[in-house]
Amino acid sequence: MNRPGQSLSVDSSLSSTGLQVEIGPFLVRVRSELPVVATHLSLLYCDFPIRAVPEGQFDVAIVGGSGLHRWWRPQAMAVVNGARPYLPLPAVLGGAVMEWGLNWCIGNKAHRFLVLHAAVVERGGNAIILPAPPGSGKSTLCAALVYSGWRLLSDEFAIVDPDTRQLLPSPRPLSLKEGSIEIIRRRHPSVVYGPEGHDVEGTRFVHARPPSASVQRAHEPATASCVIFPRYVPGKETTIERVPKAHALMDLAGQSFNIAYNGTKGFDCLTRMVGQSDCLRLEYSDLDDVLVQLNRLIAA
Amino acid sequence: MTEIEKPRRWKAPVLVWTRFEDSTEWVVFNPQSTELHLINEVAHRLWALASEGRARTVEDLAVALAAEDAPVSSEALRFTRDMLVFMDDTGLLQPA
Repeated sequence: MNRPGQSLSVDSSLSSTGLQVEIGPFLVRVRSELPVVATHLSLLYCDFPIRAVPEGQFDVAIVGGSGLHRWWRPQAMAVVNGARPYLPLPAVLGGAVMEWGLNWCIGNKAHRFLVLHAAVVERGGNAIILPAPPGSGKSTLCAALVYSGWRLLSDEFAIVDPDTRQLLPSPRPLSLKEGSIEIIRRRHPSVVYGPEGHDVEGTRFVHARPPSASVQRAHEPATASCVIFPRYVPGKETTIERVPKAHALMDLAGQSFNIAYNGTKGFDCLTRMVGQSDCLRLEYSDLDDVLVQLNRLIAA
Repeated sequence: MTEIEKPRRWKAPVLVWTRFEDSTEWVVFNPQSTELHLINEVAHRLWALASEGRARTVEDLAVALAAEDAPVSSEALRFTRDMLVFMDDTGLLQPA
């Protein structure tokens, strides 16, 4: 096993039987012959427990193209627990394909938890759930918070244990898109970033290494104290206003991948979590100001 | 007279209702459809009246909902009818 914090040497197991990466509650077996996947792991997963063990709840293989595609326009395709959820992409996107394959696993297979599309951050024992549709500025806000001292639980999924209503961390590389890449790079130049790429829709993206301290606390659950629906509005002063809890519950359930699988237990879990949280709508344009306000809010 | 306006008996399936202290609205979870619905207090009262199990017309329910002796407005009748159709469609009420 690698030692967290030290540089990871991704050995030949990756291309043969696979490596087991521990991401919070998930053990993921990763396999790939593509050098770009080894580089992705070395660069962005150096703080994670990684073992040369050919097992995992999720089996993510990033395979190259077959036939002519091995040499002519090499490809990367995710084979996830035997399924191929995405079309092949250029091989240079192999690291990103691995991330998207993992997203597919968590969104579609982690049914022992309640899984919501939301970022989760924590400070001083208070976790904030940030559910929002793409383009709302959720990931930018999440990155600004976690590179300023907040703990990252996830920038993509709120993983809730339906028995305890605790939020389980699954910190992984943060996904930044378009203009937020430059915003976060300018604010945090010392963070390690992967290579930039364009996804199938032409959106420019980059992955950023999660803070080491968050990865080291990946087995420390947190309790939700706030549900905040963020929205980036250019030129707007920061406003934070209350949302009726019934509306927050509806919106949060709308971001759930698997409330149908969890049934009444999942609904009860969401209801209690909303009941114990302040539910707020945040509109912002100035990251410095919103950080001050959220620090003040959580301290209060 | 449409089907929904005729005297009907309704029954309530197993549902999970939630209301928070900061508003009068209800969130109801239907375990059969696994869908959630946000409904206001009046609609919740209508559901409670309809699910008492007595055969009632839309007008009977609108009158009971208004809890007044005066004739109910066409708006109240429309609300009652539309809400019964919604509850029937979403499985919050079932024909008994």
